[in-house]
Amino acid sequence: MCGQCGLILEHAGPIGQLLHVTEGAMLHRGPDSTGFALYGEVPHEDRVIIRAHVLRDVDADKALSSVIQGMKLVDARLTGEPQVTAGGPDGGTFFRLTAELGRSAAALLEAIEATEGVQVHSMGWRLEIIKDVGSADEVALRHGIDEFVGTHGMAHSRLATESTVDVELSHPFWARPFLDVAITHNGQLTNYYKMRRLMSERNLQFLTDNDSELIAVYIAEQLAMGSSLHEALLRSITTLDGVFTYLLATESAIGCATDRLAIKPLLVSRIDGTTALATEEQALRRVFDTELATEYVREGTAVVWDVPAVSDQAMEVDTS
Amino acid sequence: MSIDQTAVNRWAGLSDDAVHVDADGLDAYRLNRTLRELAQGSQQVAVDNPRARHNLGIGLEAMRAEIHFLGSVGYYCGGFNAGASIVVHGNAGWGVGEAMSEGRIVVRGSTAWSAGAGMRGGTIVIHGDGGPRTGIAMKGGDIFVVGSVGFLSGFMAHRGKIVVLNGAGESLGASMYEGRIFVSGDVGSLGADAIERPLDGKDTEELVRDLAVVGLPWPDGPFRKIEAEGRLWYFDKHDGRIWRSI
Repeated sequence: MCGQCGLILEHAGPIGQLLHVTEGAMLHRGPDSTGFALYGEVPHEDRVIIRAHVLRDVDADKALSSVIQGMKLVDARLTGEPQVTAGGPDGGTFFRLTAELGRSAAALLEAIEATEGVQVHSMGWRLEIIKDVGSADEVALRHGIDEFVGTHGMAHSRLATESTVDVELSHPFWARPFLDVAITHNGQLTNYYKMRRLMSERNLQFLTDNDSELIAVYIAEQLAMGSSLHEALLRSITTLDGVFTYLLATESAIGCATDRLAIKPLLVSRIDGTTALATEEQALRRVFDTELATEYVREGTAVVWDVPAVSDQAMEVDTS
Repeated sequence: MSIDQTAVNRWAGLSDDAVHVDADGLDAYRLNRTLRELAQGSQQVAVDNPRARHNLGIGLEAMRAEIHFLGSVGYYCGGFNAGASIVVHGNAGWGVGEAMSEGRIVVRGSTAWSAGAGMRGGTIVIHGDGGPRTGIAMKGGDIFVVGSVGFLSGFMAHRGKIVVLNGAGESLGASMYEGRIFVSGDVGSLGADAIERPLDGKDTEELVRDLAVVGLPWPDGPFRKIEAEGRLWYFDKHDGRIWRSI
Protein backbone atom coordinates (compact mmCIF):
# COMPACT_ATOMS: atom_id res chain seq x y z
CA MET A 1 0.00 0.00 0.00
CA CYS A 2 1.77 3.19 1.24
CA GLY A 3 0.30 6.64 0.74
CA GLN A 4 2.18 9.61 -0.57
CA CYS A 5 1.39 13.20 -1.38
CA GLY A 6 3.08 16.27 -2.75
CA LEU A 7 2.12 19.93 -2.77
CA ILE A 8 3.49 22.92 -4.64
CA LEU A 9 2.27 26.28 -3.38
CA GLU A 10 2.13 29.43 -5.49
CA HIS A 11 3.90 31.39 -2.74
CA ALA A 12 5.67 30.21 0.39
CA GLY A 13 3.04 29.12 2.91
CA PRO A 14 2.12 26.55 5.60
CA ILE A 15 3.44 23.60 3.62
CA GLY A 16 4.08 21.48 6.72
CA GLN A 17 0.56 21.79 8.05
CA LEU A 18 -1.05 21.13 4.63
CA LEU A 19 1.03 18.01 4.04
CA HIS A 20 0.34 16.80 7.58
CA VAL A 21 -3.44 17.01 7.06
CA THR A 22 -3.28 15.45 3.59
CA GLU A 23 -1.07 12.58 4.71
CA GLY A 24 -3.13 12.07 7.86
CA ALA A 25 -6.08 11.11 5.64
CA MET A 26 -4.12 8.11 4.32
CA LEU A 27 -3.28 6.46 7.64
CA HIS A 28 -5.05 3.29 6.47
CA ARG A 29 -2.51 2.95 3.65
CA GLY A 30 0.48 2.65 5.98
CA PRO A 31 0.54 3.20 9.73
CA ASP A 32 4.16 2.16 10.33
CA SER A 33 6.01 5.41 9.86
CA THR A 34 5.57 8.87 8.42
CA GLY A 35 7.96 11.31 6.86
CA PHE A 36 8.05 14.75 5.33
CA ALA A 37 10.40 16.34 2.79
CA LEU A 38 9.92 20.08 3.14
CA TYR A 39 11.47 22.89 1.13
CA GLY A 40 11.70 26.09 3.15
CA GLU A 41 11.69 29.63 1.92
CA VAL A 42 14.52 30.71 -0.32
CA PRO A 43 17.40 31.52 2.07
CA HIS A 44 19.16 34.88 2.23
CA GLU A 45 22.54 33.44 3.10
CA ASP A 46 24.60 30.51 1.96
CA ARG A 47 24.08 27.82 4.55
CA VAL A 48 23.25 24.19 4.23
CA ILE A 49 20.60 22.60 6.43
CA ILE A 50 21.39 19.19 7.92
CA ARG A 51 18.76 16.90 9.40
CA ALA A 52 20.20 13.90 11.20
CA HIS A 53 19.27 11.14 13.59
CA VAL A 54 21.21 9.78 16.56
CA LEU A 55 20.41 6.12 17.19
CA ARG A 56 18.66 5.12 20.41
CA ASP A 57 21.59 3.62 22.30
CA VAL A 58 24.01 6.46 21.62
CA ASP A 59 24.59 9.45 23.94
CA ALA A 60 23.05 12.28 21.91
CA ASP A 61 24.97 15.15 23.58
CA LYS A 62 28.32 13.49 23.06
CA ALA A 63 27.40 12.57 19.51
CA LEU A 64 26.37 16.13 18.67
CA SER A 65 29.59 17.71 19.97
CA SER A 66 31.60 15.07 18.13
CA VAL A 67 29.69 15.86 14.92
CA ILE A 68 30.38 19.59 15.29
CA GLN A 69 34.09 18.90 15.85
CA GLY A 70 34.14 16.69 12.78
CA MET A 71 32.45 19.33 10.67
CA LYS A 72 35.16 21.86 11.54
CA LEU A 73 37.73 19.55 9.96
CA VAL A 74 36.02 20.01 6.58
CA ASP A 75 35.59 23.79 7.06
CA ALA A 76 31.86 23.54 7.76
CA ARG A 77 31.22 25.96 10.63
CA LEU A 78 27.81 26.15 12.24
CA THR A 79 25.79 29.25 11.37
CA GLY A 80 23.18 28.83 14.08
CA GLU A 81 22.29 26.96 17.27
CA PRO A 82 21.60 23.23 16.82
CA GLN A 83 17.98 22.20 17.33
CA VAL A 84 17.48 18.94 19.17
CA THR A 85 14.26 16.89 19.24
CA ALA A 86 13.61 13.68 21.14
CA GLY A 87 12.13 10.88 19.04
CA GLY A 88 9.34 8.49 19.96
CA PRO A 89 9.65 5.59 22.44
CA ASP A 90 12.34 3.81 20.41
CA GLY A 91 13.26 6.72 18.23
CA GLY A 92 16.57 8.12 19.47
CA THR A 93 17.28 11.83 19.02
CA PHE A 94 16.94 14.08 16.01
CA PHE A 95 18.87 17.25 15.28
CA ARG A 96 18.88 20.07 12.80
CA LEU A 97 22.04 22.01 12.05
CA THR A 98 22.77 24.91 9.76
CA ALA A 99 26.31 25.29 8.55
CA GLU A 100 28.58 26.50 5.81
CA LEU A 101 28.95 23.82 3.18
CA GLY A 102 32.74 23.72 3.53
CA ARG A 103 34.68 21.61 1.05
CA SER A 104 31.87 19.58 -0.49
CA ALA A 105 28.58 17.91 0.34
CA ALA A 106 30.18 14.47 0.19
CA ALA A 107 33.01 15.51 2.55
CA LEU A 108 30.56 17.10 4.98
CA LEU A 109 28.36 14.00 4.96
CA GLU A 110 31.33 11.75 5.63
CA ALA A 111 32.54 14.01 8.43
CA ILE A 112 29.16 13.95 10.18
CA GLU A 113 28.65 10.22 9.87
CA ALA A 114 32.17 9.57 11.15
CA THR A 115 30.56 9.85 14.59
CA GLU A 116 29.16 6.44 15.36
CA GLY A 117 25.37 6.18 15.57
CA VAL A 118 24.71 9.37 13.60
CA GLN A 119 22.83 9.07 10.33
CA VAL A 120 22.07 12.00 8.07
CA HIS A 121 18.49 12.17 6.78
CA SER A 122 18.94 15.17 4.51
CA MET A 123 21.26 17.95 3.44
CA GLY A 124 20.29 20.85 1.25
CA TRP A 125 20.05 24.59 0.87
CA ARG A 126 16.32 24.27 1.46
CA LEU A 127 15.41 20.58 1.83
CA GLU A 128 14.62 19.20 5.28
CA ILE A 129 13.58 15.58 5.70
CA ILE A 130 11.84 14.75 8.96
CA LYS A 131 10.82 11.11 9.35
CA ASP A 132 9.97 8.97 12.32
CA VAL A 133 8.01 5.93 13.37
CA GLY A 134 4.30 6.65 13.94
CA SER A 135 1.26 8.20 12.28
CA ALA A 136 1.22 11.57 10.52
CA ASP A 137 -0.39 13.17 13.59
CA GLU A 138 2.21 11.73 15.97
CA VAL A 139 5.20 12.62 13.82
CA ALA A 140 3.87 16.11 13.01
CA LEU A 141 3.29 16.87 16.68
CA ARG A 142 6.65 15.51 17.81
CA HIS A 143 8.62 17.41 15.18
CA GLY A 144 6.66 20.66 14.85
CA ILE A 145 5.74 20.02 11.23
CA ASP A 146 2.73 22.36 11.35
CA GLU A 147 4.95 25.42 11.88
CA PHE A 148 7.04 24.81 8.79
CA VAL A 149 6.74 27.49 6.09
CA GLY A 150 7.90 26.67 2.59
CA THR A 151 7.17 26.46 -1.11
CA HIS A 152 6.74 22.74 -1.73
CA GLY A 153 7.15 19.33 -0.20
CA MET A 154 6.13 15.71 -0.02
CA ALA A 155 4.89 13.33 2.64
CA HIS A 156 4.69 9.57 2.89
CA SER A 157 3.16 7.04 5.23
CA ARG A 158 4.69 3.63 4.98
CA LEU A 159 3.45 0.09 5.10
CA ALA A 160 6.75 -1.73 5.44
CA THR A 161 7.04 -4.57 2.92
CA GLU A 162 10.62 -5.17 1.80
CA SER A 163 12.32 -4.16 5.04
CA THR A 164 11.51 -3.60 8.71
CA VAL A 165 9.76 -0.72 10.46
CA ASP A 166 12.60 1.64 11.24
CA VAL A 167 13.29 5.38 11.24
CA GLU A 168 16.05 5.13 8.64
CA LEU A 169 13.93 2.98 6.34
CA SER A 170 11.03 5.42 6.40
CA HIS A 171 10.34 7.73 3.50
CA PRO A 172 11.21 10.26 2.16
CA PHE A 173 14.78 9.39 1.26
CA TRP A 174 17.49 11.86 0.52
CA ALA A 175 19.60 11.17 -2.60
CA ARG A 176 22.90 11.31 -0.75
CA PRO A 177 25.15 13.25 -1.28
CA PHE A 178 23.20 15.32 -3.81
CA LEU A 179 21.87 18.42 -2.05
CA ASP A 180 18.11 19.08 -2.10
CA VAL A 181 17.02 15.90 -3.91
CA ALA A 182 14.41 13.71 -2.18
CA ILE A 183 12.06 10.86 -3.06
CA THR A 184 8.87 9.24 -1.85
CA HIS A 185 7.99 5.95 -3.48
CA ASN A 186 5.05 3.60 -3.57
CA GLY A 187 5.93 0.16 -4.87
CA GLN A 188 8.95 -2.14 -4.94
CA LEU A 189 11.75 -2.76 -7.41
CA THR A 190 12.61 -6.21 -8.69
CA ASN A 191 16.01 -5.34 -10.20
CA TYR A 192 17.31 -3.64 -7.06
CA TYR A 193 20.45 -5.72 -6.55
CA LYS A 194 21.51 -5.45 -10.17
CA MET A 195 21.02 -1.67 -10.10
CA ARG A 196 22.79 -1.41 -6.76
CA ARG A 197 25.81 -3.33 -8.04
CA LEU A 198 26.08 -1.17 -11.15
CA MET A 199 25.72 2.03 -9.14
CA SER A 200 28.20 0.93 -6.47
CA GLU A 201 30.73 0.43 -9.26
CA ARG A 202 30.28 4.14 -9.97
CA ASN A 203 31.12 4.88 -6.30
CA LEU A 204 27.59 5.93 -5.36
CA GLN A 205 26.76 5.56 -1.68
CA PHE A 206 23.64 4.45 0.14
CA LEU A 207 22.59 4.66 3.77
CA THR A 208 20.19 1.72 3.58
CA ASP A 209 19.34 -1.35 1.50
CA ASN A 210 16.01 0.21 0.58
CA ASP A 211 15.00 0.23 -3.08
CA SER A 212 13.44 3.70 -2.88
CA GLU A 213 16.71 5.28 -1.78
CA LEU A 214 18.33 3.77 -4.85
CA ILE A 215 15.85 5.46 -7.20
CA ALA A 216 16.60 8.83 -5.62
CA VAL A 217 20.34 8.43 -6.05
CA TYR A 218 19.85 7.10 -9.58
CA ILE A 219 17.88 10.21 -10.61
CA ALA A 220 20.13 12.66 -8.73
CA GLU A 221 23.22 11.26 -10.43
CA GLN A 222 21.68 11.99 -13.82
CA LEU A 223 20.65 15.48 -12.76
CA ALA A 224 24.22 16.13 -11.63
CA MET A 225 25.46 15.03 -15.04
CA GLY A 226 23.20 17.50 -16.81
CA SER A 227 19.98 15.61 -17.56
CA SER A 228 16.74 17.49 -17.08
CA LEU A 229 14.45 16.09 -14.41
CA HIS A 230 11.96 15.01 -17.04
CA GLU A 231 14.62 13.17 -19.05
CA ALA A 232 15.87 11.36 -15.96
CA LEU A 233 12.38 10.35 -14.86
CA LEU A 234 11.48 9.14 -18.35
CA ARG A 235 14.65 7.03 -18.55
CA SER A 236 13.87 5.44 -15.19
CA ILE A 237 10.64 3.95 -16.52
CA THR A 238 12.54 1.50 -18.70
CA THR A 239 15.64 1.14 -16.50
CA LEU A 240 13.82 0.29 -13.30
CA ASP A 241 11.97 -2.99 -13.11
CA GLY A 242 9.10 -3.61 -10.73
CA VAL A 243 6.25 -1.60 -9.31
CA PHE A 244 6.73 2.10 -8.84
CA THR A 245 4.89 5.36 -8.66
CA TYR A 246 7.32 7.80 -7.13
CA LEU A 247 7.62 11.51 -6.47
CA LEU A 248 11.04 13.09 -6.88
CA ALA A 249 11.59 16.59 -5.56
CA THR A 250 14.36 19.11 -6.17
CA GLU A 251 14.69 22.69 -4.95
CA SER A 252 12.70 23.92 -7.96
CA ALA A 253 10.30 21.14 -9.01
CA ILE A 254 8.44 17.96 -8.14
CA GLY A 255 8.29 15.22 -10.73
CA CYS A 256 6.72 11.79 -10.85
CA ALA A 257 7.22 8.61 -12.80
CA THR A 258 5.01 5.55 -13.06
CA ASP A 259 5.78 2.05 -14.27
CA ARG A 260 4.04 0.68 -17.33
CA LEU A 261 0.96 -0.43 -15.40
CA ALA A 262 0.83 2.28 -12.71
CA ILE A 263 -1.08 0.07 -10.29
CA LYS A 264 0.00 2.44 -7.51
CA PRO A 265 -2.32 5.37 -8.08
CA LEU A 266 -1.40 9.05 -8.10
CA LEU A 267 -3.91 11.83 -8.59
CA VAL A 268 -3.12 15.34 -9.69
CA SER A 269 -5.21 18.41 -9.11
CA ARG A 270 -4.60 22.11 -9.52
CA ILE A 271 -6.46 24.37 -7.14
CA ASP A 272 -6.00 28.16 -7.14
CA GLY A 273 -2.35 28.06 -8.10
CA THR A 274 -1.56 25.05 -5.91
CA THR A 275 -0.54 21.77 -7.51
CA ALA A 276 -1.62 18.86 -5.35
CA LEU A 277 -0.64 15.21 -5.75
CA ALA A 278 -1.84 12.29 -3.67
CA THR A 279 -2.42 8.57 -3.75
CA GLU A 280 -6.09 9.10 -2.92
CA GLU A 281 -8.45 11.93 -3.79
CA GLN A 282 -10.12 11.90 -0.37
CA ALA A 283 -6.79 13.00 1.12
CA LEU A 284 -6.76 16.13 -1.04
CA ARG A 285 -10.36 16.82 -0.07
CA ARG A 286 -9.29 17.18 3.56
CA VAL A 287 -7.30 20.24 2.59
CA PHE A 288 -9.31 21.70 -0.27
CA ASP A 289 -12.94 22.34 0.55
CA THR A 290 -14.18 22.21 -3.00
CA GLU A 291 -15.14 19.66 -5.63
CA LEU A 292 -11.84 18.91 -7.37
CA ALA A 293 -11.00 18.26 -10.98
CA THR A 294 -8.59 15.37 -10.57
CA GLU A 295 -6.72 13.22 -12.99
CA TYR A 296 -4.83 9.97 -12.53
CA VAL A 297 -1.25 10.00 -13.77
CA ARG A 298 -1.26 7.55 -16.64
CA GLU A 299 0.82 4.37 -16.80
CA GLY A 300 4.41 4.68 -18.05
CA THR A 301 4.60 8.45 -17.83
CA ALA A 302 6.89 11.08 -16.34
CA VAL A 303 5.55 14.49 -15.40
CA VAL A 304 7.31 17.50 -13.88
CA TRP A 305 5.66 20.42 -12.09
CA ASP A 306 7.82 23.50 -11.54
CA VAL A 307 7.69 25.44 -8.28
CA PRO A 308 6.43 28.91 -9.28
CA ALA A 309 7.77 30.66 -6.17
CA VAL A 310 11.28 29.56 -7.12
CA SER A 311 11.11 30.32 -10.84
CA ASP A 312 9.58 33.76 -10.08
CA GLN A 313 12.51 34.55 -7.84
CA ALA A 314 14.97 33.41 -10.49
CA MET A 315 13.30 35.78 -12.94
CA GLU A 316 13.57 38.66 -10.50
CA VAL A 317 17.27 38.02 -10.17
CA ASP A 318 17.63 37.93 -13.95
CA THR A 319 15.98 41.30 -14.47
CA SER A 320 17.76 43.19 -11.69
CA MET B 1 -21.29 29.12 3.30
CA SER B 2 -24.95 28.17 3.04
CA ILE B 3 -25.85 26.08 0.05
CA ASP B 4 -28.86 26.89 -2.07
CA GLN B 5 -30.46 23.45 -2.00
CA THR B 6 -32.93 24.27 -4.76
CA ALA B 7 -30.06 25.15 -7.09
CA VAL B 8 -28.23 21.95 -6.12
CA ASN B 9 -31.35 19.90 -6.78
CA ARG B 10 -31.78 21.51 -10.17
CA TRP B 11 -28.12 20.91 -11.08
CA ALA B 12 -28.38 17.25 -10.15
CA GLY B 13 -31.77 16.82 -11.80
CA LEU B 14 -33.47 16.12 -8.46
CA SER B 15 -36.98 17.05 -7.46
CA ASP B 16 -37.48 19.72 -4.81
CA ASP B 17 -38.64 17.22 -2.21
CA ALA B 18 -35.43 15.17 -2.40
CA VAL B 19 -34.16 14.30 1.08
CA HIS B 20 -30.59 15.48 1.76
CA VAL B 21 -28.05 13.78 4.01
CA ASP B 22 -24.74 15.42 4.92
CA ALA B 23 -21.93 12.86 4.75
CA ASP B 24 -19.70 15.07 6.92
CA GLY B 25 -19.61 13.74 10.44
CA LEU B 26 -20.98 10.31 9.49
CA ASP B 27 -18.61 7.41 9.04
CA ALA B 28 -19.27 5.12 6.08
CA TYR B 29 -21.10 2.55 8.21
CA ARG B 30 -23.50 5.05 9.74
CA LEU B 31 -24.02 6.84 6.44
CA ASN B 32 -24.89 3.59 4.65
CA ARG B 33 -27.36 2.68 7.41
CA THR B 34 -28.94 6.11 7.18
CA LEU B 35 -29.32 5.70 3.42
CA ARG B 36 -31.18 2.42 3.90
CA GLU B 37 -33.57 3.99 6.37
CA LEU B 38 -34.27 7.12 4.36
CA ALA B 39 -34.66 5.27 1.10
CA GLN B 40 -37.77 3.51 2.32
CA GLY B 41 -39.77 6.71 2.62
CA SER B 42 -38.82 9.01 -0.21
CA GLN B 43 -38.25 9.06 -3.95
CA GLN B 44 -34.81 10.61 -3.99
CA VAL B 45 -32.06 10.76 -1.39
CA ALA B 46 -29.14 13.11 -2.03
CA VAL B 47 -25.81 12.80 -0.20
CA ASP B 48 -24.02 16.12 0.27
CA ASN B 49 -20.24 16.31 0.72
CA PRO B 50 -19.17 12.79 -0.28
CA ARG B 51 -15.62 14.25 -0.53
CA ALA B 52 -14.27 11.29 -2.49
CA ARG B 53 -14.54 9.09 0.60
CA HIS B 54 -14.41 5.31 0.34
CA ASN B 55 -17.13 2.69 0.87
CA LEU B 56 -20.17 4.90 0.26
CA GLY B 57 -23.47 3.22 -0.63
CA ILE B 58 -22.21 -0.27 0.17
CA GLY B 59 -24.56 -3.24 0.41
CA LEU B 60 -27.76 -1.38 -0.47
CA GLU B 61 -30.81 -3.36 -1.49
CA ALA B 62 -33.70 -2.64 -3.81
CA MET B 63 -35.56 0.32 -2.41
CA ARG B 64 -37.92 3.02 -3.38
CA ALA B 65 -35.45 5.86 -3.60
CA GLU B 66 -32.70 6.68 -6.02
CA ILE B 67 -29.46 7.58 -4.18
CA HIS B 68 -27.56 10.60 -5.52
CA PHE B 69 -24.00 11.37 -4.44
CA LEU B 70 -23.48 15.07 -5.06
CA GLY B 71 -19.77 15.02 -5.86
CA SER B 72 -16.97 12.53 -6.42
CA VAL B 73 -16.81 9.30 -4.45
CA GLY B 74 -13.81 7.21 -3.42
CA TYR B 75 -13.19 3.47 -3.65
CA TYR B 76 -15.86 0.75 -3.83
CA CYS B 77 -18.92 3.01 -4.10
CA GLY B 78 -22.04 0.89 -4.56
CA GLY B 79 -20.13 -2.30 -3.79
CA PHE B 80 -22.29 -5.36 -3.14
CA ASN B 81 -25.25 -3.43 -4.52
CA ALA B 82 -28.26 -5.75 -4.44
CA GLY B 83 -30.81 -3.65 -6.28
CA ALA B 84 -30.43 0.04 -5.43
CA SER B 85 -30.25 2.76 -8.03
CA ILE B 86 -27.22 5.02 -7.46
CA VAL B 87 -26.12 8.15 -9.32
CA VAL B 88 -22.67 9.68 -8.77
CA HIS B 89 -22.50 13.33 -9.80
CA GLY B 90 -18.74 13.33 -10.16
CA ASN B 91 -15.98 10.76 -10.55
CA ALA B 92 -15.71 7.41 -8.84
CA GLY B 93 -12.55 5.84 -7.44
CA TRP B 94 -11.40 2.22 -7.72
CA GLY B 95 -13.89 -0.64 -7.81
CA VAL B 96 -17.19 1.19 -8.23
CA GLY B 97 -19.99 -1.41 -8.09
CA GLU B 98 -17.59 -4.18 -7.09
CA ALA B 99 -19.41 -7.49 -6.66
CA MET B 100 -22.85 -5.95 -7.27
CA SER B 101 -25.61 -8.37 -8.11
CA GLU B 102 -28.53 -6.16 -9.05
CA GLY B 103 -29.47 -2.53 -9.50
CA ARG B 104 -28.01 0.36 -11.40
CA ILE B 105 -25.05 2.70 -10.88
CA VAL B 106 -24.67 5.76 -13.09
CA VAL B 107 -21.41 7.72 -12.88
CA ARG B 108 -21.62 11.15 -14.50
CA GLY B 109 -17.84 11.54 -14.55
CA SER B 110 -15.04 9.01 -14.99
CA THR B 111 -14.09 5.95 -13.00
CA ALA B 112 -10.70 4.75 -11.77
CA TRP B 113 -9.47 1.16 -12.00
CA SER B 114 -11.64 -1.93 -11.91
CA ALA B 115 -15.16 -0.54 -12.27
CA GLY B 116 -17.62 -3.40 -11.84
CA ALA B 117 -14.93 -5.81 -10.69
CA GLY B 118 -16.44 -9.25 -10.17
CA MET B 119 -19.99 -7.94 -10.62
CA ARG B 120 -22.68 -10.61 -11.03
CA GLY B 121 -25.59 -8.59 -12.33
CA GLY B 122 -27.08 -5.13 -12.71
CA THR B 123 -25.93 -2.23 -14.83
CA ILE B 124 -23.14 0.35 -14.55
CA VAL B 125 -23.20 3.39 -16.85
CA ILE B 126 -20.06 5.56 -17.00
CA HIS B 127 -20.49 8.86 -18.82
CA GLY B 128 -16.77 9.72 -18.80
CA ASP B 129 -13.91 7.27 -19.22
CA GLY B 130 -13.53 3.93 -17.51
CA GLY B 131 -10.05 3.29 -16.09
CA PRO B 132 -7.85 0.23 -16.56
CA ARG B 133 -9.34 -3.21 -15.86
CA THR B 134 -12.93 -2.05 -16.23
CA GLY B 135 -15.14 -5.11 -15.77
CA ILE B 136 -12.32 -7.31 -14.50
CA ALA B 137 -13.53 -10.81 -13.59
CA MET B 138 -17.16 -9.80 -14.05
CA LYS B 139 -19.57 -12.69 -13.86
CA GLY B 140 -22.68 -11.02 -15.22
CA GLY B 141 -24.40 -7.70 -15.74
CA ASP B 142 -23.68 -4.88 -18.16
CA ILE B 143 -21.20 -2.00 -18.19
CA PHE B 144 -21.68 0.92 -20.58
CA VAL B 145 -18.91 3.48 -21.07
CA VAL B 146 -19.42 6.62 -23.12
CA GLY B 147 -15.69 7.44 -23.23
CA SER B 148 -12.88 4.94 -23.47
CA VAL B 149 -11.65 2.18 -21.16
CA GLY B 150 -8.06 1.62 -19.99
CA PHE B 151 -5.80 -1.38 -20.45
CA LEU B 152 -6.83 -4.93 -19.55
CA SER B 153 -10.53 -4.11 -19.54
CA GLY B 154 -12.67 -7.23 -19.44
CA PHE B 155 -9.69 -9.18 -18.06
CA MET B 156 -10.81 -12.67 -17.00
CA ALA B 157 -14.49 -11.83 -17.45
CA HIS B 158 -16.64 -14.93 -16.96
CA ARG B 159 -19.90 -13.59 -18.32
CA GLY B 160 -21.63 -10.30 -18.86
CA LYS B 161 -21.19 -7.53 -21.36
CA ILE B 162 -19.07 -4.39 -21.68
CA VAL B 163 -20.14 -1.77 -24.23
CA VAL B 164 -17.61 0.99 -24.96
CA LEU B 165 -18.41 3.86 -27.30
CA ASN B 166 -15.01 5.54 -27.69
CA GLY B 167 -12.11 3.15 -27.73
CA ALA B 168 -10.06 0.94 -25.43
CA GLY B 169 -6.44 0.59 -24.30
CA GLU B 170 -4.02 -2.31 -24.50
CA SER B 171 -4.87 -5.98 -23.95
CA LEU B 172 -8.62 -5.63 -24.26
CA GLY B 173 -10.48 -8.76 -23.20
CA ALA B 174 -7.40 -10.68 -22.07
CA SER B 175 -8.04 -14.21 -20.75
CA MET B 176 -11.82 -13.99 -20.88
CA TYR B 177 -14.12 -16.95 -20.38
CA GLU B 178 -17.50 -16.16 -21.84
CA GLY B 179 -18.01 -12.42 -21.52
CA ARG B 180 -18.64 -10.18 -24.50
CA ILE B 181 -17.16 -6.77 -25.26
CA PHE B 182 -18.62 -4.45 -27.86
CA VAL B 183 -16.29 -1.57 -28.63
CA SER B 184 -16.47 1.33 -31.05
CA GLY B 185 -13.41 3.50 -31.74
CA ASP B 186 -9.70 2.67 -31.59
CA VAL B 187 -8.46 -0.32 -29.64
CA GLY B 188 -4.83 -0.36 -28.38
CA SER B 189 -4.55 -4.13 -28.72
CA LEU B 190 -6.46 -7.31 -28.01
CA GLY B 191 -5.37 -9.34 -24.99
CA ALA B 192 -4.35 -13.00 -24.72
CA ASP B 193 -6.91 -15.27 -26.36
CA ALA B 194 -9.22 -12.36 -27.29
CA ILE B 195 -10.64 -12.55 -30.79
CA GLU B 196 -12.79 -10.28 -32.88
CA ARG B 197 -15.97 -11.87 -34.21
CA PRO B 198 -18.55 -10.32 -36.54
CA LEU B 199 -21.72 -8.94 -35.01
CA ASP B 200 -24.82 -10.84 -35.94
CA GLY B 201 -28.34 -9.42 -36.20
CA LYS B 202 -29.18 -10.39 -32.63
CA ASP B 203 -26.17 -8.50 -31.28
CA THR B 204 -27.15 -5.33 -33.12
CA GLU B 205 -30.73 -5.65 -31.97
CA GLU B 206 -29.55 -6.08 -28.38
CA LEU B 207 -27.23 -3.06 -28.56
CA VAL B 208 -29.91 -0.81 -30.09
CA ARG B 209 -32.28 -1.80 -27.29
CA ASP B 210 -29.66 -1.45 -24.53
CA LEU B 211 -28.42 1.97 -25.59
CA ALA B 212 -31.99 3.24 -25.81
CA VAL B 213 -32.71 1.95 -22.30
CA VAL B 214 -29.68 3.61 -20.71
CA GLY B 215 -30.16 6.73 -22.82
CA LEU B 216 -26.91 6.70 -24.77
CA PRO B 217 -26.47 7.53 -28.46
CA TRP B 218 -25.41 5.04 -31.10
CA PRO B 219 -21.72 5.75 -31.84
CA ASP B 220 -20.50 7.23 -35.12
CA GLY B 221 -18.32 4.29 -36.04
CA PRO B 222 -19.12 0.57 -36.14
CA PHE B 223 -19.00 -1.78 -33.13
CA ARG B 224 -16.49 -4.62 -32.92
CA LYS B 225 -17.34 -7.68 -30.90
CA ILE B 226 -14.52 -9.13 -28.78
CA GLU B 227 -14.83 -12.58 -27.25
CA ALA B 228 -12.60 -15.36 -25.95
CA GLU B 229 -11.34 -17.69 -28.63
CA GLY B 230 -11.28 -20.48 -26.05
CA ARG B 231 -7.66 -21.56 -26.35
CA LEU B 232 -7.13 -20.83 -22.65
CA TRP B 233 -10.06 -22.86 -21.42
CA TYR B 234 -7.84 -25.93 -21.57
CA PHE B 235 -4.20 -25.39 -22.21
CA ASP B 236 -0.81 -26.85 -21.71
CA LYS B 237 1.14 -24.84 -19.16
CA HIS B 238 4.24 -25.18 -21.33
CA ASP B 239 2.53 -23.24 -24.10
CA GLY B 240 3.21 -19.87 -22.50
CA ARG B 241 2.87 -18.01 -25.78
CA ILE B 242 -0.89 -18.17 -25.50
CA TRP B 243 -1.35 -16.75 -22.06
CA ARG B 244 1.56 -14.43 -21.58
CA SER B 245 0.43 -11.03 -22.74
CA ILE B 246 3.47 -9.08 -21.55
